[in-house]
Amino acid sequence: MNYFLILLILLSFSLSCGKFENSPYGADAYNTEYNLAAVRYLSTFQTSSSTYKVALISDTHNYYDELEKLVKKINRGGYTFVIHAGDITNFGLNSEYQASIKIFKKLKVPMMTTAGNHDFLSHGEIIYRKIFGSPTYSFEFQGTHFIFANNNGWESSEGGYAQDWLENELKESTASQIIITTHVPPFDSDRYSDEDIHRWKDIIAPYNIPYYISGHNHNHVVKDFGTTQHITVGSASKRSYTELTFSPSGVTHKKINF
Amino acid sequence: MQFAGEIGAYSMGVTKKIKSWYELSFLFGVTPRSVSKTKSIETFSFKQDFFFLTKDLDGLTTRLYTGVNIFHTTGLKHQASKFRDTPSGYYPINSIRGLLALGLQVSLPERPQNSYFFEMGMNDIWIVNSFINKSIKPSDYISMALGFNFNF
Repeated sequence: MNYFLILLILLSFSLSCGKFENSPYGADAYNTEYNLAAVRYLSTFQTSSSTYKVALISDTHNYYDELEKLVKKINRGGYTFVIHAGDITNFGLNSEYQASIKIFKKLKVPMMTTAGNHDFLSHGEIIYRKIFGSPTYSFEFQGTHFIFANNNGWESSEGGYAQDWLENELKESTASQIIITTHVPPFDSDRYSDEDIHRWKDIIAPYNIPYYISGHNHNHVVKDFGTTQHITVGSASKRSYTELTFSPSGVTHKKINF
Repeated sequence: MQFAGEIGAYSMGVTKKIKSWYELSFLFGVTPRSVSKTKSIETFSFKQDFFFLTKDLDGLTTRLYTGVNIFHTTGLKHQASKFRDTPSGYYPINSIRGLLALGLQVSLPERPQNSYFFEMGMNDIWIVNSFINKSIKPSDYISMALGFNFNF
């Protein structure tokens, strides 16, 4: 009788919790295109205030406990939207994407992402594009042009053309100020030669870009990069994120611990 | 033959009973394009099952086991060693995974030489994730498999 009970518990536990997973590397994700949905939402967003705040997060990887806390903190912070600078997963697996999305869905404000290098491992690029849409896009919100570029040149063929794409995008911009987000910092010496780094600086120099945002290095660092200020948004594992405040007097940043 | 269990939608191979409590299997698994929603995924897996409890229920032989499964997936678009311009060792090897399983094997009285099994498991990534995160639930990482062994 006890043995039957053990079998029954084993069977009911697995049937209620488990799924028939064929391969960890499958790309069977729904086409949700969250980036596009978030941009659409913001295009219809009505506010009388000329001041608003944006939460910058990055490198949430498999730090699910920290991500839960981060989402709770952001939901209490009065933000208009969230920018995720990439590395949602560790190995680009669908199961990792789904676990993160389950937590992101608790956000009360829209979130825009660009892809991190880890997100494109295995078949991660296919999954990312299904779930979030293109990692390279832009939108305008209250006079600011927000540009997201995939610069993961090692992992994605598109990433190799990030500089060309950004140059054209900036030329076409009519906004008074621009915020750029790429996962890899433009001064990353692993991935960029001195010549490449100078080209990044030359591309952004003619424009009013108060901040260039990246992730990748996990530590919160703010430093001058050519004519702009570069923020490396710390990883969620460091239990901090960055807040950008947009007001008529300009854009400011603040590191927030949680 | 096995269905699912992370080593392919359909896997086929050979099993050798080494001891009454220990079986070894070598399986080749395929997840076709229509299922993987990307290219066809091929997997070679080396499976070890350790039987720790056997009960006879009116001629129906039931055996509980734990399994250790090491599998290699070929043809991933991005494997650490095949990255364009990526320095060697920049990423850990991603194509070889381990899986721990708990399963039940059943043999019918009419054909005791054949057996059917059901197992649930979790791969190495989620073993680590479940250790470092309290918030994730079994539904995030438990995978199930069904299969059968025909003894020739």
